[in-house]
Amino acid sequence: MLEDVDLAALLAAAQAGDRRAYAAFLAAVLPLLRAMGRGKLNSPADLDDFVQDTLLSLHQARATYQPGRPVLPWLQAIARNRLSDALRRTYRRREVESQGHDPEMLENVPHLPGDDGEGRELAPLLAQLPDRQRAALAMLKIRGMSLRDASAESGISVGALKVAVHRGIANLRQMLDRENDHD
Amino acid sequence: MTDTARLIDQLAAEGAGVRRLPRPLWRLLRWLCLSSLLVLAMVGIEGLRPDLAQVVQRPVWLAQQGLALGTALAAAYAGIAFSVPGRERWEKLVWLPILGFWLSAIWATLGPMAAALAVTDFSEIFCPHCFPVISIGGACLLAWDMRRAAPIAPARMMGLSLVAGCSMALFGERLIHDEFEAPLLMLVQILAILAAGPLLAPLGRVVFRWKRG
Repeated sequence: MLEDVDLAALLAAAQAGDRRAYAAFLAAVLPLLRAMGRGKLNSPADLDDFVQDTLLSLHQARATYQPGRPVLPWLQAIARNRLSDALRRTYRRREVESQGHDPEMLENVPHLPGDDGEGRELAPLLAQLPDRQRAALAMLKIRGMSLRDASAESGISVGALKVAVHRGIANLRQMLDRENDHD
Repeated sequence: MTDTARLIDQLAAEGAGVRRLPRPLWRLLRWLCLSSLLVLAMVGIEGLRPDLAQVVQRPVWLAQQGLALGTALAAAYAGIAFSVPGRERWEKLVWLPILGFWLSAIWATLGPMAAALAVTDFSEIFCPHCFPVISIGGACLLAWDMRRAAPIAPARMMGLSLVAGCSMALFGERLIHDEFEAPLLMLVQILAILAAGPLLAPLGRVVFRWKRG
C-alpha cells in the first residue's frame, strides 16, 4: 500500500497527462476502495460495482485535486459518496426482491425473443439500457449462453452477470409499464 | 483480465492531462467579479438610489451591507468547498456565523415587533426586477463553476448557491432602492432567502451528477 505522498505524486503526474502514473494511481487505490466497501456491501457483485463506480468518479473529479494537499481525504470523500449511492441501490434492490423477485429465478426467466415481432419491439428498449445490462441480457437471454461461458467471454464475474440481468429485466419491465401507461 | 482491470486500462488510456480546478479562493474571486457585473448591470438599468451619498455615512447601513456581502461570499465559498472532495469542515460551515450574527442583530433591533409580521406580496419584500436577475444570475454563475468540480453534496451545493445569489441580490438591491430598508423587512428578506435554499436544494441532484460510465 502506497503512502499518501506517493499517491499525491502519482495523481499530480496523472493530472499532467502521465498515463502510466494514472494507471498506477488507480491500481494503488483499489485495495483501499475494496476495504471501504467490504465492510458494508455483502455481495461481491455489489462490491465490484462500487469499486468501478468510484474509479469512474475519481476519473471525473481528478481535476479537483490540489497538489500539496493530502490525497486520502480527497479519495475517501469521493468513495464515501459513491458508497452511500451503492448502499441506496442495494437497499432498493432488496426491497424489489422482497416483493417477490428472487435473483435465483433469473435462470428460469424465458429467453427474450430474437427476430420475431416482439423482439423488434424490445430492441429500442434494450438500446436504452446501460452497456453492462444490455450485454448481460444479450449473452444470457438472447444468445442463450451459460453463465460460465458469458463470464469467460466478457470478463464479468458470474455474480455481476446475475445482478446485471436482474437489473436489466427490472428496467425493461419499468420501460414497458411506462409505454403501456402512455398508450 | 477482470472488468476492473479493464476499466483501469481504459481510464488510463483516456487520461489525458486535465486543467486543474483553480483554488477555492480564486474561484470565489471570479464569482464575485461576475456577479458584481450583474449588480452593475442592474445599477445601469435602474440607477443608484438618490440618497446613497447620505446612507453610506450611516455605520448601521454599512454594517448591513457588509453582512449581506459577507453572507454571499461566505455561502459561495462554502458551496465551492463542498464541490471539492476532502476540504475541511470549517470551510463548509464558514457562512453560518456571519448569517447568525446578521439575523441576531436584526432580531435585537426588532424585539416584539416581529410578532406583527404580515407581508402579502413578493414586491413588498424584494424588487421584482433587480432581485430575480441578480439572485438567479448569481446562483447560476456559481452552479456553472461547481459543475466543473465534483458532485459530492449536490443538494448542499445548490442550497448554498441560492443563498449566495440571494444575499448578493440583497446587497445590490440596497444600492438601487431605498424602500426595502426597515429591519422587519430585512428579517423577512433573510428568512425568505434561507427558505429558498432548502426548498430548491433538491434540484441539485439534477444539476450536479456523476457521469455514468
